Amino acid sequence: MGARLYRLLLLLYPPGFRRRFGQELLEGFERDLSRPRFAGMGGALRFWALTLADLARTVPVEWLSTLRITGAPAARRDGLSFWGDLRYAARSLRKAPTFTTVSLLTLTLGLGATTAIFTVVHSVLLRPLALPESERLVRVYERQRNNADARMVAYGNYADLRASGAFESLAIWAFGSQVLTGVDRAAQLRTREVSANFASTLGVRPLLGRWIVPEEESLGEHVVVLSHELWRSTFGGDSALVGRAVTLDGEPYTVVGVMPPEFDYPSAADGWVPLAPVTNPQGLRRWHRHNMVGRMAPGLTPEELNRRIAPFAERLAQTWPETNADDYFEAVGLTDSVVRQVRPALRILFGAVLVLLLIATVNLTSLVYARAGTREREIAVRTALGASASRVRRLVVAESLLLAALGGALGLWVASAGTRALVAMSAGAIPRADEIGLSLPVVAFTLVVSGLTGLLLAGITMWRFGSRDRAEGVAQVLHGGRSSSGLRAVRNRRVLVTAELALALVLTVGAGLLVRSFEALVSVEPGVDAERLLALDLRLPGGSRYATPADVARFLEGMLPDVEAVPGVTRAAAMLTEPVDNSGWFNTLTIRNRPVVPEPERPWIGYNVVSSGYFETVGLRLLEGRTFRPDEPLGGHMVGVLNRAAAELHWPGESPVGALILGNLEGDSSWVEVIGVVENVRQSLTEPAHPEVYVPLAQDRVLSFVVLARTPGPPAGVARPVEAVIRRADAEIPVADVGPFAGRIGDLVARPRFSATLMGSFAGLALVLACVGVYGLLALSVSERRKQIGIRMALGAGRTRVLTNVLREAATMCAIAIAIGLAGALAATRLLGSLLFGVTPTDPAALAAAVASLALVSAGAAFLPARSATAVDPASVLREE
Amino acid sequence: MPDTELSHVAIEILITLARGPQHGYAIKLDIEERLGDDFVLGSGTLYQAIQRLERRGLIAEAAGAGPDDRRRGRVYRIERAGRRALERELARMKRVIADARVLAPGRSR
Repeated sequence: MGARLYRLLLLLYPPGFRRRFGQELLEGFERDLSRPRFAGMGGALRFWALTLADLARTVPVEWLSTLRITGAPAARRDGLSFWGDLRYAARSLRKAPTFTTVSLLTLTLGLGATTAIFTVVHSVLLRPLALPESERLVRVYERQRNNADARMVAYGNYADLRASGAFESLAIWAFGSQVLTGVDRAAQLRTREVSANFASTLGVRPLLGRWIVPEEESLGEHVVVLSHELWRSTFGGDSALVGRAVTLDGEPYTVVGVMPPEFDYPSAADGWVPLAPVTNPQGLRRWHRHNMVGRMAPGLTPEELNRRIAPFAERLAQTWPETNADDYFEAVGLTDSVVRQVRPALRILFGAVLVLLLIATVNLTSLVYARAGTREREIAVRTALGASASRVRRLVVAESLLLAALGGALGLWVASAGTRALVAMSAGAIPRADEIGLSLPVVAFTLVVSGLTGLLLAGITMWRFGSRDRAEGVAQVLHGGRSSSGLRAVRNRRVLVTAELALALVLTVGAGLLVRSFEALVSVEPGVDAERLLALDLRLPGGSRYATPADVARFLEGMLPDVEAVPGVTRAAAMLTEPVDNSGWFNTLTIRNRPVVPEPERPWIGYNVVSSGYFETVGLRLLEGRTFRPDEPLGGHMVGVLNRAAAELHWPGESPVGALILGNLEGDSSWVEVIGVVENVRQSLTEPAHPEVYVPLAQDRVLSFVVLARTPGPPAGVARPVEAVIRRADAEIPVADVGPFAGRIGDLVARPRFSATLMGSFAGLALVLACVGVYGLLALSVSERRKQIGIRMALGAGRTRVLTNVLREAATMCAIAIAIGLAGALAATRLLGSLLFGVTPTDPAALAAAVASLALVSAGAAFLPARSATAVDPASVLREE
Repeated sequence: MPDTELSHVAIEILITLARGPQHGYAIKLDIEERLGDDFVLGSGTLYQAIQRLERRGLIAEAAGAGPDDRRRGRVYRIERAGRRALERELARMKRVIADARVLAPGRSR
């Protein structure tokens, strides 16, 4: 009914007006509506028009008069209005440049840093992926109970899970890598083999052309959908490309579509090709090479879904006990899986930046408090001349709000620049980095935080004024020159500054721990001299030239001596997996003539395919037996070399040389003879070396390699000659990612470096702010006590005595802050948890360093006030009296 | 007392109340009738002006009943300061009209 609507519209009025007249307005509305002049449809419409016009006229006026914050009649010629207050506030801020500059700087830094971190947190952690209904998308892993690392999926299990109907849609994909030729420069593409329902599961459609159709998937047709970036950069955005063929791995692939910009799932894909279904019955449930992504039915959570498909996994385990006995499926939200690793670090950094903001606010409070004190005289004079208490309050509040608003605006500007710098600095440590940017929620966050800060400042100021009897205060100030509460002010501020110091200590300890973790991580002995290795990726094109592993081996073993002939290179090797890279292949380990272990319980062993020069290039010492020659394996006799971890684990106390491993237990001729044992090389920075076997190039089909070249000098110098050698050997091989091997390790530690750097910056800022706070307080304290100091000096106290007094004041504050801060740090640093490596949360070195910095900061801040204390001239002070 | 002008609506309210205390809605009807010609006074405008007049002490809430007292609602009455303000205002308007007559003879109402 109309009355209800009008009642809702009444909410537009300020609460005071509404409370007072709401009832009468409503009654008037109802009575008017029943008048004859507004009868009928036309009359009702006219009445509504008039009512809305009335509202439009009076609502804004009412709000404006409310904002005048006055109880006195809002007389038009009062002279002071909301905007007048602001102008006055601006003027008075201009007249106090030091205070304004320092406060603005503090606010800008604090708000800017907080907003920047919040931008990252919001864009990466809080915002859903840019896919339709992304909360229904999940990654589905095939997990194994006896192998915590296992996540990948076997095709047969995928097909069954998809047929079970537990998902609205389930797609499968695998990493691929194909060489694109027939363009200016051969390129190694990150292709993904996908099922036909991949695009529909994710809810994306091609920009041009079409997606892969099911027939193309089941027949394994040579079609490809390109990513927008590849289409743009390599093919110049040519829209006539759809329907034409490109050459991948020597074969023609018809381009059927191009995806929209910014879609490159998974992992920066350059293109998508149909996944050929696995038909080999052996491989159907044993080859774990794939990944699944699915869309849940509406209303489900991943946990519920996991519960629903658990019985299905059990049925599979019963049907296929050899392969599936320990398997289960685990669905994880897609966004979750992308950001999971970085979430702890971002949370910690957000907490840290809030602490920094707190310190900034405390600093600001201290400043405002002091400023309110220095303006007492001015306020007292105004009051004596008749300004009402409310008007005085208004002026001061306007100042605080203006300061906070300016600080917020500047902070936002700093944050947008700062965010870009953050992303650049993170160097790939943060997922979804291209989605980071200012957005409405971020701006709203800044507004809220700066608004709260402004209100806090205003509140402090009003509290400072309201707590005294005004008349008495006025008289005192006008006559006494200094208020008696000056010393009380010093005491209050001392509490604030001590709190600041304690908080700064907590941040500094946190930073120290992260820095130490980072150092521990990079100083891990990777088992290889990373500084003297050149690394590059190369991908042999498929096709007739490299049809068999023997072809590949012949090519590489023939090319590597040419690489070694380059001046500055001593040894070179090609390998499937480089050292320290934790993403190598695994195989189940079978050992001939040992008791048969059921398949699900067999141990896993790392599996690397390497050229004969691998061991010398990487620098692995031979412990037993021998390594293989360039022409091995000979005559089908397969060989392999174990690392020390494998030998110690599976042949404790004896030599594994001569043992036969990795074969099919049904007696076929796929056994590999162990011919030697070498020292371990780390496969990851954070974990000890695990068992691994190395086999020659000709023994397995691999096309993507890493080439390492040992260089006694800096590796960068030989990059181009080595590339030239490779190009001479075969111009169609794309070479990528050429650089010192140490750079690759650097990428592995990008995230810890990022966290440590950021936390260190916060700690640094916090110390600076704390230093300013201590300085301000001591300066105030000295100036409050000039008289005392002067008298003491007149009575014979030496300058040294005065100096020590000031220093003692600083030292006491520092000591208390250290005590509180350490307690706080011990509690807080426990939260760092997974970010720490090689250090405990109570690491003494970090604690000591933090305490020392705090002491240094306090001493430094005390220097100037101490000096001005000793410079007090007793005579002039006494004369002032 | 600062010499501030009264808005048109405020003057009309004072005129109405000069004749005796009234409810808010009754004031509205009275003004509309007086100004005639299909004029409608918005409730929001009315009460906004009433609030202003109250704050300046020219009118006040009356305890006790007005003529239309079967409805619950506030009754307003004019204060002495209000009468004085109204007189000043009417005097000013007369002066304006008198001046206008001098300036433009023959164009009076």
